[in-house]
Order: sequence, then C-alpha cells, then structure tokens
Amino acid sequence: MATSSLVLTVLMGVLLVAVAAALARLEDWRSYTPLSDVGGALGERTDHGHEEKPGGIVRWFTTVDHKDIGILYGAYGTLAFAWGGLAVLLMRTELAAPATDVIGPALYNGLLTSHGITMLFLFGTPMIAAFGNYFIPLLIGADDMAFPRINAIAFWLLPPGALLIWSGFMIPSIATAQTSWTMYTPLSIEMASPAVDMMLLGLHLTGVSATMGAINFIATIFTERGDDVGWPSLDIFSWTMLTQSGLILFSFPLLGSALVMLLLDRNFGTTFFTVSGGDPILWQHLFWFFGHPEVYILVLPPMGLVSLILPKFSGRKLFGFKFVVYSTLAIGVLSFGVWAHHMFTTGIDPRLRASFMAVSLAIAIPSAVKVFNWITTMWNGKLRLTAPMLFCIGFVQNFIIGGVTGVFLAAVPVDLILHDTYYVVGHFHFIVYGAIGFALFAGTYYWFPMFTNRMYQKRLAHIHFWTALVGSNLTFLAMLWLGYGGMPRRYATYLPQFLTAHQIATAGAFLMGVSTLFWLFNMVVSWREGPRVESGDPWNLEQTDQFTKDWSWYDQQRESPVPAVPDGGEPEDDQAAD
Amino acid sequence: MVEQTEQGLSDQYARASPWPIPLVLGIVVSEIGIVFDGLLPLAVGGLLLLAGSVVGILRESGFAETLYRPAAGIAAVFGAAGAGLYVGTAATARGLAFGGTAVVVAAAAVALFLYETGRL
Ligand code: HEM
Ligand SMILES: [Cu+2]
Repeated sequence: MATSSLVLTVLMGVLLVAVAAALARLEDWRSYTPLSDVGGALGERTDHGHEEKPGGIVRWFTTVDHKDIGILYGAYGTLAFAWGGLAVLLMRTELAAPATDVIGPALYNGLLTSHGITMLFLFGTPMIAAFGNYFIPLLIGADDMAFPRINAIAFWLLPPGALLIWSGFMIPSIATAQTSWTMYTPLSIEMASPAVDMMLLGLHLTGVSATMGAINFIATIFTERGDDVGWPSLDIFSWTMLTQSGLILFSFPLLGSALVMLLLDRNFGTTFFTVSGGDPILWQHLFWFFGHPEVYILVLPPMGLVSLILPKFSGRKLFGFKFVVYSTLAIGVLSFGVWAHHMFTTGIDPRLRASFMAVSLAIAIPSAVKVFNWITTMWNGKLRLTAPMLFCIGFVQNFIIGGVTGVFLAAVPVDLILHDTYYVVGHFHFIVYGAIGFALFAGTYYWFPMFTNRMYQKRLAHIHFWTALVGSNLTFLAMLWLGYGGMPRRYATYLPQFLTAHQIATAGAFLMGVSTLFWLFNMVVSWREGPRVESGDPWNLEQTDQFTKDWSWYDQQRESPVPAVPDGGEPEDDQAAD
Repeated sequence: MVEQTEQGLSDQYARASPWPIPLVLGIVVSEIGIVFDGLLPLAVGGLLLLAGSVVGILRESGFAETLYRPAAGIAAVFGAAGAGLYVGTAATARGLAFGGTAVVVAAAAVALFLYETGRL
C-alpha cells in the first residue's frame, strides 16, 4: 500500500512537472508583468503574441478557434462512430444464428452497453456540436463562439471521457460494464466491476462537456449575432441549436447528479436507489427525466439541418418557416413532460400513465408539423437530387416510420405488449440512425466544399446513400417485425422461430457498415485530392435567392488576398488592423 | 462587431491557448483520485493542476487581472470543501487531500501576491 502510493506520488509529480514544462514552452510568461509595472490588463493584450496560431500538431492542442474545434469534434465523433459501429457488427454477427456461436453473453452485454452509450454520448452529441461549432458563428455573422476557451475545454473533456467509458474493454483484468445504456438499478449498483464506476465518471465528464457547450451556444446566439441578424432572420439551424442547448442546460446537470448518486450508492454506502432504504424506481424517474429530453437533444439539430438544406435543393424557401420554429420550441417544452412513457410497465399509478400518454401523443403534433412542412417545401419544387438532398429525403422517410411507431408506443395498451421488445429497438433506430445519422451525413456533403475547398465524389456519395437507405430499412423493419413476434430486446440468443428476421437484420447491418466505408473513403480521399471548387457558390444558391451568410463568408474568404486554407487554419482577415 | 472593450467577448481573444488541456487533465485526475479508494496522491496532484490552470486561464483571458486573487479564491474553496468533508462525513482522508491542497495553493497565493505587488 505504502509503496504504491509512493509510486503514485512520484508519477503525479512527474506529470505536474511535465505539464509545467510544456506550458512554459508554449506560454509567454513575460506578458504577465507584475501589476505595478503596467497600465492595465487590456493594454498589454495587443502585444500578446498570439495573433497567429502555432504550427503543426501543437496548433490542434492549443486552438480555441471555433472552426478548428468543430473539426476536432468531427474527427472525434467519427472515431466514436467507428467503435460503436464495430461493436454492433460483432453483436449482429452473433445474432445471425440462434445459439451462442461467436461471442458469449457477457461480451454481448458489454458491447451492447458500449454501443448505446458510445453512439448517444460520444458520437451523436459531439457530431452535432461539430456542426454547431463550425457553422453557427458563420451563419449568424459572429467572429467566434462567445467563450472560445470554454469551447476548447468542453471538447477536451471528451477524450478522457471516452477512455473511461471504454476502459472495460481496454483493461483486460476487469469485466466490462454490462448495465445497458439505461443503467437501471439495482443491477447497476450490484455489478462489481470497476469498469462501471469508470463508465459513470466518464459519462459525468461528457455531461459536463455538453453543458459547457450548451452555455456557449446560448451565449453565442444571444450576444454575438451580426448587426444584420435579428431574431426574425435567425436561420433555422441556429434556432434548433438554441432550443437543444436549452434542453441540455435543464437535463444534463440532472443526469450528472443522478450519476453521482449512483456512484455514492456503489462506493460510499448510500441508499438512494437500493431496494431496502431507497427506491430503484427513483433511478428510472431521474434517468428518463433526462433521457427523453436527450432524444430530442439529439434530433432537434438534425431536424434543423434538414430544414436548412432541403429548401436549398428544392428551389424555394422553407415552407412555413415560423411554424417550424414554433414546433421546435413546442417540442422543447413538451419533451420534459413525457418521461414516464418509458415506465408504463413499472406499475406506476394508472392516472399518471394516462396523463403521460396524453402528453406523449401531443408531442407527435409538432413533429408532424415539421414533416408536413418539409414535404410541402418539396411539393412542386425544382428538386435537385444531390447527395445532401438525397439524405434529407431519406431523413423524412425514416423519420415518418420512427415517429409513427413512437406514437403507437405512447399508447399505454400497445406499450404494455411491445415494451422491451425489438419493436422499441426498431422505433428508435429509425430515428437515431435513419434520421439523425442521415441528417449528419447530409451536412457533411453539403458543407464539404466549404471546409475542404474541394468537391466530394458524387458517385460514391450516391452509392453511400442507397446502401444506407436499403440497409437501414431492412434492419429496422425486421426489428419491428421481430417485436410484433414478441422477441425481447438485449439477448445474445433467441428461439429458432426468429431466425429469418434476425438474419435480415444482420444483412442490413452489414450493408450499413459497407455504406459507411463509402462515406469514410470519400471524405478522406476527396479532402486530399478532390477537384477544387471553382466558385464561392458551389450549389448555385444565388439563383434561388438562398445564398446564406455561411456561403458569403466562404466567398469572401476565397477572394481575400491571403490564400485560404479553410480547414480552420487561415489567418482571420486583417484582424490586427484595429 | 461587438464593442471592443467588453469583457470576455470573442474578438479580443487570442486564437490559441495552452490552458484547456491542463485544466481538463486536472479535472479528470482529481475526479479519479477522489472517487476511487487509495488514490489520494492523484487527488492532490489533480487538484493542484486544476488550481494552477484555472488561475492561468483566468489571467490569460483577462477575467482576472492578477494571479494571486484567483489563487486565494481557489484555496478558500478547496479549504471549505476539505473542512466540510473532514467534519461532516466519514471521508476524512479525502478531506485532508482537499485541505492539504488548499494549504499549498494558499501559500502560492501569498507568494504571488508578494511578487505581483512588487514586494519580492
Ligand atoms: C414522435 C414522437 C415520439 C414518441 C411518441 C415516442 C415514444 C416512445 C415511447 C413510448 C418509447 C418507450 C417504449 C418502451 O420502452 O416501451 C420510446 C422509446 C424510445 N424512443 Fe421514442 N418516441 C418519439 C420520438 C423519438 C425520437 C425523436 C427519438 C430519438 C431521437 C426517440 C428515441 C427513443 C429511444 C432511444 C427509445 C428507447 C429507450 C430505451 O428503452 O432504451 N423517440 N419512444
Ligand atoms: Cu421518450
């Protein structure tokens, strides 16, 4: 014991010295002259030698530029997507046959937990933040986010969070966390592995990160808009990010507290959620009070992306803009009043069930308003079926199935039968992959010319779309079918009667895996050697009067005397002049 | 464009800062050190790193004009947390970790005060 703490102390000392040395190299200490020597803090800042970013890899470790940070978020989200995707392909391989043939139940459960948590917290939220960081300041005419340093801190909290969440897989001597993403008590209290504690800590860190990011987006949209961007002319993506950030602000701190309570129950003998002395159902209430808003946290900005991109290729403005904004706000408010629809089968008071059912059915209305507005925007429009447009249309298709199945689940009598079956899995995957994933893909294609100066390969992008569309519908329709048949979720084995549907689902999953490779290849190769973009308006948006601020920024950027390197590394146009 | 002299708004910010990563490391290491048993050296080291980088980033961004004032503030917060843990809970060792860190940070604050006011 004593020697191990000695070792730890020495290691800590080494770390502290190393950090101090690195800082001393990077930071110009002399700019902090003693107070008695200078007139004031503001005067000295102009001499501060940070106008330009350091070069090479150091730039990425020290940047506070919103575009750089957006790219960091994007790279991080892509890595997380790869891990979550590989995990699920392993699981689907196991499910290709009824018995345990490939991986055992323990590994299956570990992968299931990691897949869910990775996709929601390490891929979904960060990938949305990637788009928000890069494009919101451009869309609203701001120089940067309101708090660039907090922005960097929020990002850098994510990698250690991911390491902690994945630690069960990286440390061979401990068992993986097998709690599923919902971490229901008492199981999550009784599971002995330290991997669970580390996962909780990691989740806590990512929650802190999301909250910091949300505060930053709110402050940016409120205070940093350009002079010509009033509330009425705020673009739809910024509206959805604003609403989403509000939801994060009210729900993530609650998750953080619940996680701490769970950690205390596990390590310090408290009894918040224990069977004797506490209440396991309390966990479910706290978790879903966070958890349902979380699903809208994930879906609102992608809806904003679709509302932004789809009109650009329909040749007309978004139909009923105001109502799309209102429905966004309505969803934001209502999403806090539906959480118990995840708990219909826990034996809560039937009167409570009825009221949660009513609000859950009501939340479908603003969602449907959006769907009708997208369809009406396309109606009689001049559609251009580019890759971003295809993904937007795919979004609408998948969102309709996902939304309608959600309405069925919100009806108590239906849910009593379908709860905890594959039907639920099908429902939310139509939304989390079929809609959210699709909108994010649409975003990467739409803005690809802006952040790389190059064009992607159209053929590959179209192959990506069609394989993703067919794959997702195969898999998730098969899941709905499995659910009707009574196949429970979260099992590594099943009865032979479910064989066909499971095999279809597995085939679809691999098709989605292949489709993603087309995307990855296209992104990497086209970034390096795609054809250069010829104008500041690669989508011909000026024709239909939809040339938004982000593109005019890009246009100016191209014409500025300093050759642009719009991966975020360009010097800001004559900032030093003032 | 926002008014140039407003505090904390983006146009005045430098485009790079070395502080975010040390700050995050401080948060992560101290969290791990505090939650898991027998890792108190990590807790102390992490808290020191956290204190140092909070002071550094506040000073760099112009939210604080001196180094000693935020350092003293952090020492006070850590001291209060340590006292609370020591007196109010069974986690006395963790309380001591906070308290010990608070003493070190307070000493640093005094040294910085002397330096920054030109007395040293
Ligand atoms: C149209 C509005 C929606 C309604 C009425 C609805 C309704 C429901 C209901 C009642 C359940 C619980 C099923 C059960 O476990 O028995 C559920 C589960 C779920 N929904 Fe939805 N939903 C809607 C939209 C969404 C959206 C937009 C998302 C994602 C962004 C989403 C993601 C989920 C997830 C992840 C679960 C499963 C949670 C779990 O048990 O692991 N839903 N939904
Ligand atoms: Cu829900």
